[in-house]
Amino acid sequence: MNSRYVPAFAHALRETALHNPKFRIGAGLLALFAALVPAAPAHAYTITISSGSRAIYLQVGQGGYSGTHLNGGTPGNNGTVNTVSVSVPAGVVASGTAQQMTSNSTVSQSPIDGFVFCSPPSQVYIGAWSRPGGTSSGVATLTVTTPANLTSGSDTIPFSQISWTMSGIGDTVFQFPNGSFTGGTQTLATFPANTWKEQCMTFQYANSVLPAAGTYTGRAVYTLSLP
Amino acid sequence: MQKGTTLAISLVLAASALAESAYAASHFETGDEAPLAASVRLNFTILIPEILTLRIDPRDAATNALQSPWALRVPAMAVRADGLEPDPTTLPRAVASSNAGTLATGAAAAESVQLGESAQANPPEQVSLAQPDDRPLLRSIEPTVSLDTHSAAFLVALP
Repeated sequence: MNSRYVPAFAHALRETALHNPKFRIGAGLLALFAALVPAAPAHAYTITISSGSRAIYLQVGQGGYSGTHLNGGTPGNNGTVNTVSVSVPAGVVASGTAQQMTSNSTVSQSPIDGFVFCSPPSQVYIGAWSRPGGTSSGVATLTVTTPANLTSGSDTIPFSQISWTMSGIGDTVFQFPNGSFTGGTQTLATFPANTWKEQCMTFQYANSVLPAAGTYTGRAVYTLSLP
Repeated sequence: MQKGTTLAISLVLAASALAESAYAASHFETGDEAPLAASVRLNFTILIPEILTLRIDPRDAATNALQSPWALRVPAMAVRADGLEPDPTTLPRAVASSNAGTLATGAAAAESVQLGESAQANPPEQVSLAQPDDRPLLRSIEPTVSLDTHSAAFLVALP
């Protein structure tokens, strides 16, 4: 965790500066000013967004933003279902040597400001924001749910064989934890009012079980919920 | 009036569920209702290639007693599916075993040997083999597999 404490709005500017050199100088001056003001916890790649009507946005892989948030873009829906896959070479099946998975997501740029943040196809963008509306302080929660197994007919591979690592270009403090699927519902993060968090996920297959030959499929469902 | 209201609510709920199911990679949701939820999906696919699994029953045919240690010899020729000469650099490799055995390189680098201990109370032991260079294994490996044990009564079977 970042041990620095700066006001949330200054942090937003700092993050913007990290993403876009054009804003670096201005943000630096404001961050200096902000350092003199009583503070709240800072988290890298968490930005504050303006309050407004009650809304939430969640993106995993391909996005639905028209333009970028910084340039007045608007959020939307995207019907693409991205796929993360791996073809295990026969010579290493069940060897216990983890196999990196790749995706068909092509998203590299942050919808916040267009900064090249993720490295597809090895990384999958994940980001979300929550705006509870008005002066509400409602906290949103991001979860991921998986079934117990990936399946190929009647054959199975435990979903727990898949793990992920969070990262991002230029990122040092991560918003979501590393982990592996549990075959149930897991909480990934909480979102205080009017915040946006983003990260890049790299998936790995543990390759420590010996399943029958086949193509195993399964689906993870990410849900952002604002009470 | 009540029926109409119920129908309208049902239609709204159905439309909402349909819309939510359509959101895959990104989902923007707005409204005053509580809770507000956005769901997206991510598919996972793992391709596991064909490998060969041998089941070995290391028991003496006469006494039914477990034999230990045992060794399974797999000539390199046995796993060449392309008809070419055996290549000692492409010997099969045990990728999993139900016993504590390890795969050793056999005589003249022309075979691999799966060594095992009959530790299981209820055989058969199971050994899975794969080619290092990812070529498919011959399915008719049985005639070329021999067991180097105290007894010739062990069973080696294809799945």
